Amino acid sequence: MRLKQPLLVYANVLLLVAAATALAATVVSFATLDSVSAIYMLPVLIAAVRYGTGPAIMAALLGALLTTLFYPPLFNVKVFRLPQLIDLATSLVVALVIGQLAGRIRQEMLQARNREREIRQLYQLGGAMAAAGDADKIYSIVADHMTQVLARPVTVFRISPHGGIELVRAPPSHGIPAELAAAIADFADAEAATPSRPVTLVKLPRGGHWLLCRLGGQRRTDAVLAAVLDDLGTQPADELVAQASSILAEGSRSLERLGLSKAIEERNLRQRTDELRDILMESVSHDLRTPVASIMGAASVLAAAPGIATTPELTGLAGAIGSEARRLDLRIQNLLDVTRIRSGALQPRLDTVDAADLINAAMEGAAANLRGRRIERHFADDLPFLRIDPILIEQALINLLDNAAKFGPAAAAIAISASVETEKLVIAVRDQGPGLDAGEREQIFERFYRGERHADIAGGSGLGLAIAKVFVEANGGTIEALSDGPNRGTTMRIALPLAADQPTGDDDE
Amino acid sequence: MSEATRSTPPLMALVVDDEPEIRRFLRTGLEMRGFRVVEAQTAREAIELAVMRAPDLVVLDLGLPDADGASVLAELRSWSKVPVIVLSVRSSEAEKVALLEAGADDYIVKPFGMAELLARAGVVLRRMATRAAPAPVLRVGGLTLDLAQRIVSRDGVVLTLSPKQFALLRALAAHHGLVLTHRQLMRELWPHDPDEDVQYLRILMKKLRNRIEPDPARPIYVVTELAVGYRLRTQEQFDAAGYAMAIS
Repeated sequence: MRLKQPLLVYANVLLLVAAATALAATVVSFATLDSVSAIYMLPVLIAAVRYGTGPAIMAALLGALLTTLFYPPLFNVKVFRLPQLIDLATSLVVALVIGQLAGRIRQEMLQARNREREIRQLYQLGGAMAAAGDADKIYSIVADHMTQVLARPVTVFRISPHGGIELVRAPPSHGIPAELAAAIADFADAEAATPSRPVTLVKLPRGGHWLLCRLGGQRRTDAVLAAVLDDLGTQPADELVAQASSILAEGSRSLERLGLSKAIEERNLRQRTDELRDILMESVSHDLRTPVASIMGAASVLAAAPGIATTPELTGLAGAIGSEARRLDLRIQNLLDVTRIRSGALQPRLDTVDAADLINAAMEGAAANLRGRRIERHFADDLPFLRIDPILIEQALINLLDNAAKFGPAAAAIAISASVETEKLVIAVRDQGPGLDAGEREQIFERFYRGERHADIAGGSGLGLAIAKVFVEANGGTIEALSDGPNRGTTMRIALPLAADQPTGDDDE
Repeated sequence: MSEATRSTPPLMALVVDDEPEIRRFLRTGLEMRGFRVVEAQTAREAIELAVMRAPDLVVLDLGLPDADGASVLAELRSWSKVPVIVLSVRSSEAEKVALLEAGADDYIVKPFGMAELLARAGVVLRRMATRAAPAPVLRVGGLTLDLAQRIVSRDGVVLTLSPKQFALLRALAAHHGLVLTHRQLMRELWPHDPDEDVQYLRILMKKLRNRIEPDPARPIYVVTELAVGYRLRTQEQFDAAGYAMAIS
């Protein structure tokens, strides 16, 4: 409720007293004088309730003065006698008490209305922020409300996680002193470290007083709102700070919620992506490999069919269809492996494996490509048990053997050796091929890398070594390419972790 | 012609696969070897045909439209001992192990050639025929196993095996040519404590190979199916692996 103009108030009091006098004049023509003082109590009560103590006292004094007019002889101002003095004292006491009471009630009513307005504002704020989809929208909503509450333009600065400050909202024609940025950075840091009060007042050497408000979660400041407070004293009104604080708290909560829902959304998205990828890989795997399996199977039946089996040219053709189909299948497998690696779906299933079994399985897996090649084996006497995913490491070894077969000259031997070196099993595959120069030692593990010097060598997707590297490293192993130089052969070495539990000698159980 | 198909009447094979082209080459290949072939596209059809036609061999694909092959296998095994060869895909070793333990006799990884499948079929059918009366003496390459007299010899030289080593060899011989998973062997060798550490089995296998294999680092008789189990080769499997033998 707004306070009325004092003059108007006192004019109203005069009118009230005049009305009471008119009433009294009417009353005295019918009744005794005793009622007159009671009639003059009415303007006192009304003034006290409506306008407060001051106007009520004025009404009391006027009333007491006018009461004397009604004592005989009528309408003569007389000296106050005892009854009139008692009337006056009573009126004054009533004016004071009622005025005080009414004043207090009025005050409370005012506060209640203010609170109601604040709550409504906060409620609207909450609603607006709940609908906000991103942090910037929340900053702008909070800034709008702060502008209303402070009745001053509000500037918004975004604080990046690395401490950078960025102006996101500056009211028009509003200078921003250079020192403000430093003050904001200090405030953001201090408040993020030990959140105490989200509002503070700073005095800049040349920029006057600024009210700084912090928005953010635990140990993190997202944004700082700043408003210049030149026309206010050194300390902002407590009420203003309290209001600003509740707006900021609401804003900070919304930011927290937003962060949370964003994280949930991201996780859901990732999960959906994973599921989609699994489905895709499964279906690609099925859709591509099933026809390949049909081709290979059909070719194998044809190769043995009467009429073809007896004609070497035809058996050769049928055999070629079959072996090409198998090659295609391996390519598809390679692509699927790369997809698996790229999408992070590679999870080794560790098992204890006899190293000899592993190498033998790989040699069998690479048999088709090793056919006709001289293989030298140099195994230590008693190979240890490894702790690896046998399928992944077998594939890595097959890729190394395929590579050696591809690049080594057909007449030269491929050597495979295995021995324990410093708590690791080292498996080396050596070919007599074109070797590597210094740069190639790393490059060959890159996807789709194929040496320029031997681009004429047919086949290969350039994925084999990249896959081998990832598979070996996923199992806690290492892989390296060694070469004495161009045309002096290549040695691929992989080192694999041993199992904790190793067999003892050939004693009986 | 394999001996399994020379008998009369001809053996019947049930081919279960939802891919028509796969069924087609399997039918042609099997018929060329003297089998009669019935085909099923779904799990339901497979069970019906298995009941009505009583096949001598089932070739079972795992990816069926109405149920997975594993449930077909489980249902089949509840009343039938018919040999089952599962068609599997790479990179599902755990699935292969589960199927073998659920009663599949062997598996073959897609893509495969007809010769491979016929070889496996020959092994499971022969085992079926000799299950009642196992051959008292097995020969693989230079290795001779006289199970009745508990004598193992290689190239005429008698080998000394511990009782446990012999038990392992005998368990593999009982499924000659077929894969036995680690768990299946554990149950056979440690019947009172089948959940014992598999490491015991690996070590026992290493010791057995040290005794019977000419080069224990490159076994030619008892071979490892990586991440699945072990297999005692038949003479045919031994001969087919001849290439690997050429590696010096």
